[in-house]
Amino acid sequence: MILSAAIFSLLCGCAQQGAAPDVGQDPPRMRFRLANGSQLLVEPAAQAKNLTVHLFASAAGVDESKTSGMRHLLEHLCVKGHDGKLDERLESAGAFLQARTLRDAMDIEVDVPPGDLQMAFDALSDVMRGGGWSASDIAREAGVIEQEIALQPESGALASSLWAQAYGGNGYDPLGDIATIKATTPEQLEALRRETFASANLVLVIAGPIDLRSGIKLGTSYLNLLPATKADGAPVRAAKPGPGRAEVDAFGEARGVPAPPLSDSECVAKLCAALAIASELKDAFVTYTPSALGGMVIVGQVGEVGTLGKFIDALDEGDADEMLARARVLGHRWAIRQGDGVNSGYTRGLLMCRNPRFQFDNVSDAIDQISVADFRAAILAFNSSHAFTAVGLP
Amino acid sequence: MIGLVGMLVQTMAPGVTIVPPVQPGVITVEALMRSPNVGAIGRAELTLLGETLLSDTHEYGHRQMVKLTVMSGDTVRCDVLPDCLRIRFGVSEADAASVIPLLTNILHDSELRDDDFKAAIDSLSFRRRDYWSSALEPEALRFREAHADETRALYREMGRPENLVISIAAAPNVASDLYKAWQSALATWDKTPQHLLPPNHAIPKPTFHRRGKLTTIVLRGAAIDPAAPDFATQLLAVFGLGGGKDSAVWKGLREGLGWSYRQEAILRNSSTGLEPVVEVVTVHSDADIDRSLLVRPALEKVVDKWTEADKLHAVAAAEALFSRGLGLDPLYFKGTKPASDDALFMNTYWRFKTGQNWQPQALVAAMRNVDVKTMQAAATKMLESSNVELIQGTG
Repeated sequence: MILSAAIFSLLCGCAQQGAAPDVGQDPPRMRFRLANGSQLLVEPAAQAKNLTVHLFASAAGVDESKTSGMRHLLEHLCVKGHDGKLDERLESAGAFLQARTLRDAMDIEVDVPPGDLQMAFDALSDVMRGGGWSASDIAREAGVIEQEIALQPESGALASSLWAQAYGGNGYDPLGDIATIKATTPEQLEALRRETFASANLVLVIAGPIDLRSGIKLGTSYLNLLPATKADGAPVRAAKPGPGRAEVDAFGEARGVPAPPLSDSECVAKLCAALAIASELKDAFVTYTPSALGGMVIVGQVGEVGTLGKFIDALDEGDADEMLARARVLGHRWAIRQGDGVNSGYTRGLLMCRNPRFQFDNVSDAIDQISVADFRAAILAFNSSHAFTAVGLP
Repeated sequence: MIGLVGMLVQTMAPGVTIVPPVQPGVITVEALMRSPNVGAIGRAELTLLGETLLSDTHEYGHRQMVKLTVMSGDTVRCDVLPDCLRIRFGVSEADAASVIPLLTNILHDSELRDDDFKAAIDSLSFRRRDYWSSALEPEALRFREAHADETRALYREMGRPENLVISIAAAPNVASDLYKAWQSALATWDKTPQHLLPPNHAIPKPTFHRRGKLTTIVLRGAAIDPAAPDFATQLLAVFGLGGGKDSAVWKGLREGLGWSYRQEAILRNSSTGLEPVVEVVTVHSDADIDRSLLVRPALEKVVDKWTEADKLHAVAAAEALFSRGLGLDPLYFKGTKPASDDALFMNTYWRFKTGQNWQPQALVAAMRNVDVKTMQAAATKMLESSNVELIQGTG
């Protein structure tokens, strides 16, 4: 209680440049929005071996139908740092940078030894500064991305087809369209860099062995260096009704069901249904990226066609009832994996990008509260009469 | 209390070690069955064995095995590694009495029915492997030439106690019961040596083409001994070749030549040791053959220029991986990557391979004492001793 009061007064001090801070206490972590529009999440984890810092840059406001892959290109180029040697500097100090471009946001993750938070901040500043790229820099990196797209695993190709079937232009694969990437000009990329790293698009997550007060103080000081911007309205991602089916250049089979935001019990039930289905089949996979927007729950099998579909289509209400207890256990395990330990900052930060008030911990309650009727409906949603299907033959 | 703790990390003759639990409330089993050094047909039979081992056993059907283990988060599975079969499962503590019966059924009492073999052959013959593993194991195995009887004999031979290395991660209160159950089960086993057919040492015919647009180039060096005194030097050289974005493969191939997205240097387990391998994946083009010839010189050029900074980078990469779980893991054990995240597997495997404990911190300490010239010499030897293997995508 004393700690909370002290932290609140610290927050008010930190955010006094503008409007009252948007504060959320979610012990042991704390999250809030600064006056310049950026958000901060601090999550102390004394037992963690690394200090993990994520910088999420929301994709809100980016029209992917015209710029598919440009965010991905930006990610590739900006993580090199101003002199192309950012990774070299970090790795020689025992730190590590990873970056991913997702549908909802770009994530720059820097893992540093405990106590080296400033090293992570310096790296993020270097990433955001970027710029100055030439047409030849773009052409060279477009070549590397072309290689990356070709390497997409079969599960990724199946998932990409399901997203495209359900969401059309709002479900573009974040790897992107290579023709668009190759045609990107330095001016377009610079404009996208400024837009992407505008403060209102940013969520900074500090997780690991750091106390809450220090994390808030240091994180706030860092974010306050950024000029204020306004956030774009988050677009609604609406799915078409199923069923649907498409053939894919991959060997395997997958079923996908559009799901509302993770805060919705329907999404939780569908996720648990997918986990229970996958547990019955050898080497089956489940793909779901936590999202505060509409998403997609996918269950699939690579290297095999027919088994998954037959199994799902044969499930009846009795089977669903028998699977529910296991589904809850698997759902809780998923929630623990996403919401605790090293993944916690990633999951919560990604969700904050699109919904600052998202309470990930409600997911566990939602799993406990899945009713028999909800679960039957969730299992039925994967049936070929409702779901989207992607199939690729050898 | 001391006695109890002492009992926790102990070897139960033969080959079983009880260690502290890896997750609360769950007993986790890691079992390795040593495979003999076999040839072309033997590899097919081993793969067939791995595919059918968990079909049904005397006491447990496949569905029963899955149901018993699925809630633990470690559903029962069997992987065929180049030097062993790996079995892994977890069981809730409430089902502790099932652990040894399930284990012994898998290791000794699998049904291995003709129908299961037939189904497995049909499935394996049409299975498409991903570009990465098919480059590491390029042999086209002829499953239809595998013999069911010989596969069963292989199973019985690999299941002999001296070929097993097992770890059970369990709480102290169940350790004693597990021990007794294992001993009694073992006493009933038929330990007669099996008469296997003489190994066919014909080298399996490699695949030179792969359907699809990806081409892989592999440099495969001579296997090194993980129990050798200079293993830390060899591992450091592999970190220098492929550990992160300041490594030789990154600088020489991705940044230097600019035609690949994924390129790694790894140590892959084989029946003779750990093979240093550089694997490069690129989109198929008319330049495939020329590119395959460019890989080694490009890497040698980078290695020649290594300085103390490169050595320190490699040590930092190893320290970050082994102390804090960060970065790329060069130890490759098929589906077990990143292996260093799985202490139960690594401890079991290292005991299996070297007879010693897995001690990554000692390795990092030894790496610090390696000078850059020695590291360069080790990397150069790996590159010089390597064969170039090219599998071209068909476009």
